[in-house]
Amino acid sequence: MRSSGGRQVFRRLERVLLGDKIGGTGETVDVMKNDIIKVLSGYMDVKDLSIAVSTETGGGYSIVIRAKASRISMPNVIK
Amino acid sequence: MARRIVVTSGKGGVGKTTVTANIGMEIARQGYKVLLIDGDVGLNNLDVVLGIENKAVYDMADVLEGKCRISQALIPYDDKGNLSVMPSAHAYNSEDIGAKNFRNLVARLNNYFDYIFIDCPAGIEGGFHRAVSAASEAILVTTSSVSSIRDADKVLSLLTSYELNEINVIVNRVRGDLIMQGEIMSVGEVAKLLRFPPLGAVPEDDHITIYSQLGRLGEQLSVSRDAFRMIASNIITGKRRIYDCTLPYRGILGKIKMKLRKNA
Repeated sequence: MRSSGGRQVFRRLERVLLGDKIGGTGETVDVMKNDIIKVLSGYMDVKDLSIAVSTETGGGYSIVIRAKASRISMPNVIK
Repeated sequence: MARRIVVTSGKGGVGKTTVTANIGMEIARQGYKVLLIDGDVGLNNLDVVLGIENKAVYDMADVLEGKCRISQALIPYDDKGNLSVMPSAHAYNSEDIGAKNFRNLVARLNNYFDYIFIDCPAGIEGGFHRAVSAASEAILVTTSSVSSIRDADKVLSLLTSYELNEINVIVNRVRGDLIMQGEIMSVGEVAKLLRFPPLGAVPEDDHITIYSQLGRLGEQLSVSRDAFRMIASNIITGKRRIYDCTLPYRGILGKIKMKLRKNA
């Protein structure tokens, strides 16, 4: 049977590298992810969310947040 | 005008020097003028891997100190005169050779070669800066191990702060059998993590270890040579053909090979 070890390593490293870039731990990344999901949940049913951070020439970060949603719905606007 | 390519890694022991030597040899075999500069001052090994350690009369430091002409510090490697090597100074401390002097030295060699490869020291200290600042392109060598990838990611971030035309990644020592079993990440996954498209993949190959310890790296004719040939061609043409390290482990024979390797 094919092992899923490689996949696990990929996910683990994804967290480690992101943690390195933002200067936090894997837990920090999870907290950030959960907060973003919380915000997005008002607009869509989030299935999966990934954050990619890369450093830019001359300082600063370029951050890409990719979300997969099963459904997008308009938020309830309280008048 | 030469393409000046620094070969770096961050982590030591990923095979940077053998990758530099092999790519240089393959490009030279295709008729281009290639120079390999050992940028690892104080911990140089390019000469020993290529078996030319006894041919080195003068080195980089001698040129910089004005003890010899630049041509006297170039060791011809092949009969056709396409590949030359400039050894670095073993007796020196890395800090003794400054980035500006090194850059000037590389600039002086620019018009005599098509490709200049600089074998960068491990780490991200002064030696790294010296080697990268003299280059116009960079190749980052990593393996698929977690520590190597973590260091590679950091080095890639640093490389983006230099004025480089291109930054490429080579995944070295790839275990195709373990990828087939799903035990380690594929080359594509490593590239996805590092967010740089791979320039090539080189399979784990005992021949490299055996031939480089004998100083006869140029004589090895194993599977990794195909991978290096492909990388050399990618560098020259700008194409991206990646050697499939899982190929020997496909089919019935491949499965037997995989089992034998697992039990070894």
